[in-house]
Amino acid sequence: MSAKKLALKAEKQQKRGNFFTEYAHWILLFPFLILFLTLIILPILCAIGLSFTDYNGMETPDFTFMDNYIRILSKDSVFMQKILPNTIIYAVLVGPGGFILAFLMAWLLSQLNKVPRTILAVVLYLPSMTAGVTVSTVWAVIFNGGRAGYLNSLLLRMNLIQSPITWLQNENTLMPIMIIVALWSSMGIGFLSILSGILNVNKELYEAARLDGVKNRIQEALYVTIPSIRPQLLFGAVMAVVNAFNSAGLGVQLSGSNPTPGYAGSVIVNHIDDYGFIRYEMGYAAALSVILLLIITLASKVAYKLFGDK
Amino acid sequence: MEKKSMRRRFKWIALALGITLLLAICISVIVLIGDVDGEIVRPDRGAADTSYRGWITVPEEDTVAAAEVPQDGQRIEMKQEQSFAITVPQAGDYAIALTYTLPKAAVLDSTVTVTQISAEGETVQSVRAEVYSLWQDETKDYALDRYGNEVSPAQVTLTQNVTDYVRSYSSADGGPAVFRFPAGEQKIAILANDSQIDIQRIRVVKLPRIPTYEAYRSLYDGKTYSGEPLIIEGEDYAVKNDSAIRSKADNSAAVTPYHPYYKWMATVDGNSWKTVGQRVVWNFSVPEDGWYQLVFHYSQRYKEGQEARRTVEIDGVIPYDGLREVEFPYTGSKYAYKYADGMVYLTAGTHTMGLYVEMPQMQDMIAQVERIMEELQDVGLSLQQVAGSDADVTRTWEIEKYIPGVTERLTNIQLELEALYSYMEQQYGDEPASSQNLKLAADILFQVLKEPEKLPTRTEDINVGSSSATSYLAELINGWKNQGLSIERIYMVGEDAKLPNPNGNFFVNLGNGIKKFFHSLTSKDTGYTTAASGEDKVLTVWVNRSVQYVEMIQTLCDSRYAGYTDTDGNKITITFSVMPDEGKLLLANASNTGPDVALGVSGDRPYQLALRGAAYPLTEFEDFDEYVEGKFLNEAFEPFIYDDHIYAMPETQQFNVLMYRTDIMERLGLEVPKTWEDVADMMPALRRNGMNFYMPLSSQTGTKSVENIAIFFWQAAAARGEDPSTSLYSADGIHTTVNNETNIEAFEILTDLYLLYGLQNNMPSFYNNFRYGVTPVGIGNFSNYVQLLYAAPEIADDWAIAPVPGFAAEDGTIYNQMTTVGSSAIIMEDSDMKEAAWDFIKWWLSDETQSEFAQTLQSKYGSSYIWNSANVNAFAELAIPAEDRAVILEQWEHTVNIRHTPASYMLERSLSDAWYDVVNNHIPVRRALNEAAVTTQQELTIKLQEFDYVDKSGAVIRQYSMKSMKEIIALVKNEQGKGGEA
Repeated sequence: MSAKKLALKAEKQQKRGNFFTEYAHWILLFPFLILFLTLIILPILCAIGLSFTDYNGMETPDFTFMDNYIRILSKDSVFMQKILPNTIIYAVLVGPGGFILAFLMAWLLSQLNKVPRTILAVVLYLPSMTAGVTVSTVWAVIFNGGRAGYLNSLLLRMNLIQSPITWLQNENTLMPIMIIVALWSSMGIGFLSILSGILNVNKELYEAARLDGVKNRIQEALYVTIPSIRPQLLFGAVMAVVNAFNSAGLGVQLSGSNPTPGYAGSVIVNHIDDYGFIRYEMGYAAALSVILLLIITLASKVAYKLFGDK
Repeated sequence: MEKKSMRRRFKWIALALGITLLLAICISVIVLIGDVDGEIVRPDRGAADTSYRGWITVPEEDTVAAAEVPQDGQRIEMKQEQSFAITVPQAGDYAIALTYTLPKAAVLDSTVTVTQISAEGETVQSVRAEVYSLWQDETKDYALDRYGNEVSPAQVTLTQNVTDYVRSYSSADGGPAVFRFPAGEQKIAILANDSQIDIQRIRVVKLPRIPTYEAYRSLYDGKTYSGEPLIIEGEDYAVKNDSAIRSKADNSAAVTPYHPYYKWMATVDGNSWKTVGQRVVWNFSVPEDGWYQLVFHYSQRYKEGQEARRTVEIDGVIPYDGLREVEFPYTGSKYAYKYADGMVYLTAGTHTMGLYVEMPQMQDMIAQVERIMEELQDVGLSLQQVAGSDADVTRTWEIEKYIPGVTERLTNIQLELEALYSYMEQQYGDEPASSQNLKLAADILFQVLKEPEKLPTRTEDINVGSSSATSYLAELINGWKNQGLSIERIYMVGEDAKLPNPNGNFFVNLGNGIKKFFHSLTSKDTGYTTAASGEDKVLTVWVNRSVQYVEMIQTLCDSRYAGYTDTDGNKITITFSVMPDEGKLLLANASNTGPDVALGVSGDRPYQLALRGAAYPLTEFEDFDEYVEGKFLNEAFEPFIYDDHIYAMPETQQFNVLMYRTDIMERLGLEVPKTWEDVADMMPALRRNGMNFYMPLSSQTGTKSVENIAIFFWQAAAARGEDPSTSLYSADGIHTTVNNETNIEAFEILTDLYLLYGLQNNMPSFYNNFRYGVTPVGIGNFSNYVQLLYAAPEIADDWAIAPVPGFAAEDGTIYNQMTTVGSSAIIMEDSDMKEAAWDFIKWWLSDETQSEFAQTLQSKYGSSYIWNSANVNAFAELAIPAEDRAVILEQWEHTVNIRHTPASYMLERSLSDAWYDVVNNHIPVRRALNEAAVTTQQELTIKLQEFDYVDKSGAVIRQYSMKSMKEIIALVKNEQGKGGEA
């Protein structure tokens, strides 16, 4: 009897112990999960919910099912003609472009000694930290449309142009300038992670590769470096792509208004802003952001396909 | 080993603990010692004698002759001249004394021109003199704001006559102007320049003779006072001649009264008391006849290396020459004592003491530097004409061929400046900081003169912009003229009286500093917590302005607003918060946490909120029409109209006026343009000299705002006799008319200015270009105006404003309407205290509150803080030059503002794109406007469907009203009339 009881008790205890060991990870995850759910999952669900409604930010939303999506695909000519092409051109050039540039710079820097490497890394990293401020001061001054703008002044002095060009308000020049500025500030956190990845590649691998017949640095990079830093590359690629789709401020900051003149530099995030806060059509804006979410997810999937572990 | 290091570590910890303990003891000891005074009680405010006891004395016995003025005075209207006969018995140098009142108290400088006319009717001499009203603080029992700080009191005018000598207005010499009168009958004419004036007496009097100290000393026989020091508190002044002069609250231990936590009024603020002619008079009394030593407890933090000057009058007369131009050396942020040179004799009883700003010794210097500036300006302009403004920096000139004698002129100026500097050095010792600019300007000229063949490219060093020689000199003169001085106390003492440390006891200071620090950490928000507790209901006001403005509104509200009690007898308290981003208004409304009232709301936001039922229609309040009548421009309400209701009150108001450089226009022989045609005609002349014309469109990056383009449509329509209100939308509001024939022609005129006449289509800073003379004429707005008024000293006298150009009708009338949209005040629909909110808005936008707010803002933060109130009556009292105000008010009479529709943002966008298309891509005007019309119409239809004005097929379901402000006011009046009959 007592033995049985004892056995039961032991079993219970074991069960309780099992309970803790079995669910301990949930308990530990709990604080994070709360934040993740309330700050990320919930807003996304809200946005998806709102995207099926007609909501002006003030009155109660009306449920309209797919109306917003149908409008985006069938009626929003600006979206189809300007915003989407702009977004794709910008994202393709700035995302992969910035990523390749980041890798190249990181690889070149890794060839240097510690002191110049650190200095140059800081120099390259700085623009991405200060981008918000510098865009409106430094770049807006360089591309200023008056005679006093640096580029205009230079070209005028060299007699290459007759009268100043309004770079930032011109439909033909705004997008290229946006891309240049974005590339300039693309050496962000992805660049740092790639750099640290390259520096941490086991030196013995290079020696082994040399014995196996690798002749130059390019081959080293292709056969040793890149395969060994795939995790960092994945991280860099995802960051680059997400940033490229998400960065909205640039065109607006450079040209001075949202929408940019002739929608020349407007990307999808600006369009969301336009509908949400200028036209007060929150439901429509929510639908646009759901589409943006889908595009970004898709792009990250591609990055994963390229660099992820199979 | 380990033990040893442990012990060492322990030693360090003990040491650190010991030091902390010691510090704590020190602090508490200091606080205790500093607290010797114990509880500080607020002194009995309002106990001082501040009644009017006299101003300036012009002795009767000095009168030589009196002009024939009617018994009950002679009124002279503004801009009118009136002459008075006078018979002077004996020829000689005399002064003229006027006795007058101003029927309407002038907040600003106002002047009369006094002209001496000979018997033959010729003008002998004419002097522009300042006339003023006398001002007093309404009370010295200062109101407290919610933090317990004293708030500066309202200003009241005295009905008292003013008697004063005629003193030259622009002169640094504050003494009476000298007139040379022959014997016999002649006339004195008085011209009222900026306001009405009632003249009571005109006298020709002997020039006041100020005795030397020895002569003064020998006048009276008495002993030196030996009692306790007698004190006049600075803030207890009785009368002054400028409402801007204020007392200032301080909480440094150097001043009295003083409290470590609260700011109590303690000094006459040197920031408000600094220009020549400003005078403050105190009342005081002394117990016995005798000689008294005057000691001023003052702070002079404005002129490093130089003195601020004050002339002292006792009972309206300067006792002896040593009290003229008493010099107060620089003190930094500290306080110091200034002992007057010599003593004054006072009889027992009450007296007045006046201190006023003048600096006769500087007069010559200032005149000399001003002449040099003019000459530099002249040289610079001729150089600019030689090279144009885009001079090739690599080119050289044989400059003497173009402008003979120019190098010599510049060399002379340089030598003159150096001579002036060494004179100042002699006067004020080595390297007088406040005259450093003389040397800087001379050095610049020296550098420039090294390469005379490059002179035309060096105008930026001579007269153009902020680092030019003229700019340095202008700054210098401004510095010289600023005579800011804070007077904290005036003592009257015996020979060797003991006065307290001018900066307060060291330990008291230290202790209070510590107390202040801890206090600042704890109870900053007492005001808010008390406001939110108890029975009171709280009205929340969000203000879309910076903290300074919000604090100022709050202080004003705490001390002046009577408050509102609702029908249940609940007292409503008001809290203000800064709204850093207007988008918050929308988000807060969505989550039901919005305010009751929002101030500083910009653009079309009131309309957008109204459209979606988030703003409350102000026309619902019964007294709306009475309240707004005569206070605001009718047109100012147009952007806030929706569905026959008005949803916002205009708070500030923009103005656009034509600004032009008088010097350059004169030199180029150009007239001030009155129509756009005139502008086109003057462009070739401007372009030849590398200059340009500015329109607000040119500085807008990104989307060009609709107003800047639409004014062309409105003006053209008005000039053709069409109705401007249908320039953008049809009368039913359903269609856009942006591509009608008038608009196409007007748009062509606008774009031709850019395409054919070469207007620069991107000019980031009109203010800079205007200063540099590159753009000597253009349409500037309020902020350009403020910048030029306060931040362009080198061209201070070389520019003016005029109404903007417009379209001429066939009969020659010019239609030059401009927009005025500024910020606005709204009441939210969700508010449950709408009556209280309306009451608050009525108080806030009233004439008195708005003009007081404008004044306190300027006196606290400096003159560049101009508040462009939308209340026209308050604006008329603003401290800006009278001529400019007249132009602005005239321009305001020609106002037109946009009326919104649900898709107005699309009209703006497509018009802006049309402009870019025409100017950048040379697309024909008609095509561009047609495209704009199509996109606008599409969006308009979508929006009208959204708000159920039009159904899916495009048929009208309900009318979209496009009524104007006037019609709505009539409607409101009508409804109320009906209500009354029923």
